[in-house]
Amino acid sequence: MASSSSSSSCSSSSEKKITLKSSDGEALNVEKNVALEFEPAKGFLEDNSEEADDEAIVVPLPNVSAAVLSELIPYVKQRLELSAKPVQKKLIKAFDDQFTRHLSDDKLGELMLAANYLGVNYLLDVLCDVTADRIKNKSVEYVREFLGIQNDFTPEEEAELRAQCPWAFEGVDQD
Amino acid sequence: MAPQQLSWSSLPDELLSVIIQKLIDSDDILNCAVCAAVCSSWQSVVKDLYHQIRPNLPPLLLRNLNENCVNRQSCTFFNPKTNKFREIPLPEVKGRWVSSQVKLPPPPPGTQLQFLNGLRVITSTSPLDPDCLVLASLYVSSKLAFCRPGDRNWTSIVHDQYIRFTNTSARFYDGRNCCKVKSGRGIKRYRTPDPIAIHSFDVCRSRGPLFYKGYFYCLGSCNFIFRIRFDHPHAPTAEAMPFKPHEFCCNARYNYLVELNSDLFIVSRFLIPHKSYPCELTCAFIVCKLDLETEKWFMVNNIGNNAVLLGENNSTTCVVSSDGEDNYFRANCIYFVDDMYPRDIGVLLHDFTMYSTASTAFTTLDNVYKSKLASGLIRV
Repeated sequence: MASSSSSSSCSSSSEKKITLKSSDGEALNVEKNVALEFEPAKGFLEDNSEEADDEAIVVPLPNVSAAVLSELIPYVKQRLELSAKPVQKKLIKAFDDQFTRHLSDDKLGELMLAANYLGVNYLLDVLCDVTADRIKNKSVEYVREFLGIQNDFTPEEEAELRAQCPWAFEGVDQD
Repeated sequence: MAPQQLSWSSLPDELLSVIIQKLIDSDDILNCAVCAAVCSSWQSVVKDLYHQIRPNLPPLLLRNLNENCVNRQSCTFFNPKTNKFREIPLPEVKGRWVSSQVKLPPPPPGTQLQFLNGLRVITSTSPLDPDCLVLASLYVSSKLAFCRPGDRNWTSIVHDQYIRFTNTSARFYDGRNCCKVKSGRGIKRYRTPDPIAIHSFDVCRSRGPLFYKGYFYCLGSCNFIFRIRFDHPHAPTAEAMPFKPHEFCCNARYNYLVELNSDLFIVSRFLIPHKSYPCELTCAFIVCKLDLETEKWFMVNNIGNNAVLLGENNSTTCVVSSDGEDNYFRANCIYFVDDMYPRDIGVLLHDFTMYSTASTAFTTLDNVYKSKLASGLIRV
């Protein structure tokens, strides 16, 4: 993606770095404008605005692991650069597609939780789309397994559901 | 790192509901049913969402006939509101007309009800309804049989051997989300289950027979109308009705039994050869209404606020509301599909045409319909 021109646009903010502390205790340095995209970080920075030196601020993000953060940060950074320019929506969509295409199912779930916790709504929307796509036209059991949902129907209710719409349990697409 | 199970199952409810909403958007009734069966909280989310997304006009089932689909096991829904098509794969459609929504019991060995080409199956209500009836007909040997979901065997319908079932199978009338079935204990009303009101997207290939006032009515050859009685649940019988179809039926190519404003109608369709292609075109319709008192048919040239949709082998009606809101069909019109097989072109042509009962004029509908090769319309 067009990184040469974009790097200059955020050069001013790139001077200001914030440290994010992940759930597993790792410290990650990010540009301030990226950190501000994360709701908890934004709130923390506002509360601690009297702090003169941003460099000294360490924002704790106890619900997000370093592995997930290190996926999120480049995404948010690039996405910010993209949306700062008058680019077409198509381009943003292509970027989102590229980001989500290779995500494993596990990673998708982790990212979704993280995006939800961090309040990155544009990413959340994309991830919901991808999730819906991945379980579309699948069987009930596939959906349960995929999302790790505990089947809380009684055996009788389950048997009834199976009798009523066995096709829903058989899967429409090849899993 | 948190294991996968943990991350997904800890998704908050509002996110789940966003995902479910995305899944069941665009009238995707199939995904709707799957979501409802996942767990109880999903079921209640679907229940809430279903009423919001339920389309004003139900989608139409189109028989799949695009050029690559000779072996295609799928069916296509058309949503008149959005002009969108949605294809749903079916496991059992090839060479048979079997709804994927109903697990059919195997035919009892040694019986004549073999599962061959020409088997047609329809359901009375949503197959999710445990009281739903499944009716099967076998064109080749003129057999009719029925079962209920969960049955292990088909129950044959006994009928007079002289009554031949032509192009049959019957059609259940399911107006207002319910269906009435006559049983030993009187007429029972079955409500289509809500919120997942899925109707059979199969299948009725009959040209008119329907479920009317508690009975199936079928058009037989030899100019008989007969109905199927369910008085004895295990030995339903077919009986010829005293009123015969009107005389036009003999000359018409297709006759469709239709219910309009709770009256029984026969729509007769006449065809003439195409001028330049070796195929036939619809040239006229005659609509007759049965007067139940005198058991006589009267020709009508006005079907009021109704639109009749005729497929190759089936028919459906819809009421066009007078306020003009959300109307996709015009009142007092017959919509039908013509299939043409010009051999020198080697492709199927389909024409979706509107016939105005009042002005007896034919209007070919626009390419949105035509290009999608619609055939076999059924309202679901």
